[in-house]
Amino acid sequence: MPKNTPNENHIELLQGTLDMLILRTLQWGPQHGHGVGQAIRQSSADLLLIERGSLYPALHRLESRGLIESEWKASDLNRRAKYYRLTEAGREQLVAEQSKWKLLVKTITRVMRPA
Amino acid sequence: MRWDFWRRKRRNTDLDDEIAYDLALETEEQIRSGVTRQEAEQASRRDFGNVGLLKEGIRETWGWTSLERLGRDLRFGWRSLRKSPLFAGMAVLSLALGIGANASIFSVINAILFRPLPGVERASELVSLNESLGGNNPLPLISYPNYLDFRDRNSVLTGLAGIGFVPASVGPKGNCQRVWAITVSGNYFELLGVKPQAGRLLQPEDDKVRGGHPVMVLSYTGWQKRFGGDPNIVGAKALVNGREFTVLGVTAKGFHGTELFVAPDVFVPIAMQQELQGGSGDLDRRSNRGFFAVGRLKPGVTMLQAESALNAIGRQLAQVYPQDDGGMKVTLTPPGLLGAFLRNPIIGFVAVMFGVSCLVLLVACVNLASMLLARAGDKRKETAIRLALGAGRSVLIRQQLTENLMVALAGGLGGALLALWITSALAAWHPPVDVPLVVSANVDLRVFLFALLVSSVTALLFGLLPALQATKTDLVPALKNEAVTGRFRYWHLRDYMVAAQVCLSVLLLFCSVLVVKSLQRSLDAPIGFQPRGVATVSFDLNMQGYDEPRGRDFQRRILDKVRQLPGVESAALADNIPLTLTVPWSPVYIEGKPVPKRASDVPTAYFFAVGPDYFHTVRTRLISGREFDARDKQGGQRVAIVNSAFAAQLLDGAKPLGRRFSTSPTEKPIEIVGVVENGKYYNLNEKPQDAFWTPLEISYQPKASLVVRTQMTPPESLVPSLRAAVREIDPSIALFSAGSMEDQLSWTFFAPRVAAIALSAFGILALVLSATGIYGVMAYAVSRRTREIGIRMAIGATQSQVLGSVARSAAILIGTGLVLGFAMALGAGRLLERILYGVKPTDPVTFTIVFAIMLGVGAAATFIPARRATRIDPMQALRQE
Repeated sequence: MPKNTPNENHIELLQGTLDMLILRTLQWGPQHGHGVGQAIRQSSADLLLIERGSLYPALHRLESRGLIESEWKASDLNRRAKYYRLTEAGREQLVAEQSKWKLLVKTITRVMRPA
Repeated sequence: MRWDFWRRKRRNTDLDDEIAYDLALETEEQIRSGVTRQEAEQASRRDFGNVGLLKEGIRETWGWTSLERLGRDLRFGWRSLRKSPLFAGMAVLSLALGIGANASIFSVINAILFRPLPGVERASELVSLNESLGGNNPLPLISYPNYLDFRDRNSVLTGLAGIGFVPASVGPKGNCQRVWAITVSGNYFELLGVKPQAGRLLQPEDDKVRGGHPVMVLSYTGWQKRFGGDPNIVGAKALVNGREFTVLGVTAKGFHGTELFVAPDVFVPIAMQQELQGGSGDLDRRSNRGFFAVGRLKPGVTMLQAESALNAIGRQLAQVYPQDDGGMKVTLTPPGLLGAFLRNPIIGFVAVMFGVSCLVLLVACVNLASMLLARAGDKRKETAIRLALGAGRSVLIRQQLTENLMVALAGGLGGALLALWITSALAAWHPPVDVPLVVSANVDLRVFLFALLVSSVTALLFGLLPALQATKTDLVPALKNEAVTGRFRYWHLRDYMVAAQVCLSVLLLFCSVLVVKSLQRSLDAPIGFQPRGVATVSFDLNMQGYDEPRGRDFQRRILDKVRQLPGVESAALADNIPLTLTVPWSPVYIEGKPVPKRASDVPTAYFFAVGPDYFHTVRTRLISGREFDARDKQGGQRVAIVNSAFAAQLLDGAKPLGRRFSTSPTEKPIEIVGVVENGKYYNLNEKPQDAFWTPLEISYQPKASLVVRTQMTPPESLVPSLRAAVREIDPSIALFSAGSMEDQLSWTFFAPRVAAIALSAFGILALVLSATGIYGVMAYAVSRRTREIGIRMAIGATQSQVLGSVARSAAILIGTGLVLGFAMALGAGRLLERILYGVKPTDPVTFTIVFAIMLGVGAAATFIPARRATRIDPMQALRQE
């Protein structure tokens, strides 16, 4: 199953939503970069494919903003892996973004509702 | 900083690990879905995308501050420059020379035009009042009565001060020296806002009664130099021309009057003018123009408004005193350069020098640009690799510009140091002139800022184009190390650079050669006398308190004594030596011609009082009539010798001998008894000027120079015996301006000589720069064409065909540059026309010289690379790429 063929079922990520998805994913516990990407894919039923070229910069950006923090731990592959974890500030940010997102969805749905 | 560096390094390895871990997990997943390990690894890597770019992006999120980024670019630039020291050295050197030339001239401009007068309050409000009657009065001087009228009648100035320059013998008893004193009106210090260092300064009360204020103020340098900084100076007595004066005070350090280049030692009230100057210190004669005037504009009044208001007063004066002031014009200028007298010539001169030095800088910049282009060519592969690996074009351009900026700043620093060196040499220069000159063109902050600005603009302007060009590389051929052979016929940017460089060099060379030639002409032009082999000493009997009978006696006795000295061929007395800046002039009224109504219509002529044998001694050719001789003694017939310009211009060419003229309508006429050849009297560029000479015996002058022609070489070796002869008659007499006559004149010759040297240096600099530029570009072009030339030779091209092909492309570039350069030179010549002497701006000889030089340089710079092209071994050339 080659993943790099264009799939019309894939959804283009809305601008600015990646950060929220990452924070949401990390709510379930610490995870490394690859794991975050996989988790988003699985929970979107393979519809959302996060490019590593976007994922890693986003992780580092969130870390430098203090919304997540990282720790090096030995992993299942017997290698050092970098695990990211939500900080208190990140939790608050997620709550805020979630309510903003709900409002956005509600509003858009109202506008787009079938006449 | 160090810690930061380690942390960054740590983060980099962490990032590498993180990415590697991701790739490993991905590979595992792929393997699990059933492909081989190799395929899986490839797939996961391909899927991952551009790792380098990703890392770059992530590093950006770590927050490179702009400072860190600059540091990184600087380190990169330093490494890359260190890899090509020849390029870096040449670039820095050529920029340093260009900027150094520019900054030196700028520091002179800064000193002359921008820096406010030192020690003066609100210097920008000060104006110098210049009176002009037209004619050949070289100095914008004003008479004392006119000064008073302008001062009292105007409503545009808060005040107007009168200033006169008088040589005087000044000092503590027994140690008098000849100094230039300034006589000033009582309001002078108050008007300028000068603070005292000690005691008090002159006030209006000190300038009330003629001859009644034996007081003086010392300048700080005068106090240090003449009185050894004596702490008890205030209230002390000092002698001025033998009379006791009281020292009132010392001016604050730094202040040295209102002239930029003259530093007086002593200030004396104008009321004492006659005491200092004797007969010519007449303050009541309206035609006795001997003063400068400096005023302060009232708030809100512009210089133009003040000028028109003062001209209105001038017209009133002209109506009341047509004989003295008719046709008088007033102009206001910033003070500092003898009013308007030196201002325009200096501005003109400095403007030309600045223009030329800007051209030198431009040539250096074009040189830099073409070097950068060639370098970009060398780095083409490197650039292509970096672009292919995903480096942003903006990053490459930024790094290129940083590198250029480093080169430019190094060049700017070198240039500033060069300017520092040149100007300190200038400040150490003491011209042999009878005036206390100060030449200060120090490099100050403004000059440094100028150098900085010029170098940064240079880097950005001339580095941007090559940087843009370099990053526009077509990746595939560049990576394959292929020359862009398909496009070699078209003009490259660097070809334009060669043409531009040739063009600028032609322009620069043309201007330099033209001006140098004109200076040479004025240096070589006959000056109407032969200073070589003549020694002079001067004395001022006024300062020794001699009256006229004693003075005449002394002059007779010293001349007799000197004529007896061994080694003396002939000797004579003269009140002034031509071309020494202190030559007086006089109105001339020809007998039989109507007296002009307005003073400005009265012709003027330089005049000298000389003793018998003068013309023979200085070797001025007598055209007709006779020299002064024993007949012309005190009480004898009033006679004069005129020059041929006088005869031609004032006597309308009629037979001059026996004609009579006078220097004032009320004076007894003077008969012309001889005519001598024309000469130069004030400066070397002057057109033939009228001049006349009267016998010193008849018009006695207490200040005189002994002019002695001697067989001794050098002529100044006669000076000790001249001194001894004077001492035998009166040991108290101080001699000044002793030495060879050529030294006395060196001031006049100095400016043109300096200019000629500077311009020649600029011209040579431009030539060297453009020669290296042409050579560099041609050599580079040949190296780029190695493969093409190899193919040509492999299929049978002869050496001369190859040579011709390389030379032809060079000839087209150089020819284009020459044509454009000469077109621009024609335009520039028109601008220079005003300052040229004896040379036409279309001088064919200059054209030929410049053409030949440029062609020679171009041919030499092309020949070496062209010959290298013919030596190309086709087999090797084809294998190489």
